[in-house]
Amino acid sequence: MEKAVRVSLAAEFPPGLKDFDYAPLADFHVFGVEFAITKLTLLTWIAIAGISIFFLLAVRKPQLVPGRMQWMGESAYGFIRDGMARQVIGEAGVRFAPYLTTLFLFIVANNIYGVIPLAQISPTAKISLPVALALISFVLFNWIGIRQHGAATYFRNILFPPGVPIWLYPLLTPIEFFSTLVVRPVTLAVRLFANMFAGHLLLLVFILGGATLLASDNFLFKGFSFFSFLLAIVLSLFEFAVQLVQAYVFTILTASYLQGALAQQH
Amino acid sequence: MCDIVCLAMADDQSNRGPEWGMSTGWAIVGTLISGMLVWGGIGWLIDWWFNVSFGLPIGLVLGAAGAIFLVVKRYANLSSE
Amino acid sequence: MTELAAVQGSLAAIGYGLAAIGPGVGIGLIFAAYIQASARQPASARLNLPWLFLGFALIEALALFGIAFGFVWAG
Repeated sequence: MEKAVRVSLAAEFPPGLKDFDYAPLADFHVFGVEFAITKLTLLTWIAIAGISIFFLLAVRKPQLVPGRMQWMGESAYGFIRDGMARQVIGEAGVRFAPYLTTLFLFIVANNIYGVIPLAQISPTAKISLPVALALISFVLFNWIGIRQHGAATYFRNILFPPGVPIWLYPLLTPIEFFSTLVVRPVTLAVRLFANMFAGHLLLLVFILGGATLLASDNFLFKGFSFFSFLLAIVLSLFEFAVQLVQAYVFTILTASYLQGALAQQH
Repeated sequence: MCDIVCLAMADDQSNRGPEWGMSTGWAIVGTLISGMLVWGGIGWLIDWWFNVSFGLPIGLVLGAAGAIFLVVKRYANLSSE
Repeated sequence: MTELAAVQGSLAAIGYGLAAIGPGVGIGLIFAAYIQASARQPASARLNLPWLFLGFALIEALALFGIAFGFVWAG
């Protein structure tokens, strides 16, 4: 019996780790280190260009009564500056608002590539980008803490919590060290990476599964492909929400760690 | 009766921004995981060095106990200031 | 003696699945109690907060034991 539907798959079912490997479009060596430009690199560059152009257009010819572009730029910046920097860190947090806004918008732009057609892969779904972002936040909050309180006081406040009997310090200090200086950046990176990775895999399962079901000969399978595609649509919307939430969580935790480093009250 | 109500009304949430609950939750989970990782790791090293088998479980339980102590010390006295 | 039935594969996976039931129910109970108490008497929310964190930490420790011992006993 001839298949009434001709289906060609972009990738094979079931999806796996191999679906996260992208062929390099160009590769080169710099001082013995291999670099490759892939689709993910291009997507990140487009995100950077988009955000930069957005803000450049927003502040071009600023007026007291803002036009539409300026209003959008001010809303985006104000959301982070008032809702996160001022609320979480306090008045001193306003000087971190530019970094937090950039971080938030960069993560949002990279995440939502996962549901945008033609792109459909978040660059944050590979571990390297969340690790880089978490490293920057980690270095920043430690640097700010050291600059505010001096290195000795800062580390003493982290490693030796007050109100603990002296003989318990050998038990607790390694735990505190690990929890502040290792677990924080690692969980920042892994939380973002795992959510984007799992979301992408979910979408792959339902879309590729639906297409595979549609291409089969059994008409019951073809019927089930409808539900698979329906779930793919529902999950795309859910995935979009998760992407926004994960960007928000990353930024608000960075702001919270900055507040902890500045305040240093346990 | 005023002591309970007034304590709640004079609630200074000055050091609690938005999502402080989520930050606190992640801090608790992070402390628990770190405790078990650090002391479980030390216990595993003891296992590997002396070829015994009880180091890792004891290390895990010890780390969890220490982490719970830290969590109680930091978070279980917040409102009775 | 011939085997009539056997379970093959990873017993640690089954063990972890069973071990995740208890803490899951426990955390639900703790937070349900906190939400109910706060709904009945909002002024008590602030006072119950330390107990919420304490209960959460204790139960979460058991959940993490489940994950950790899953790996310890799988090898």
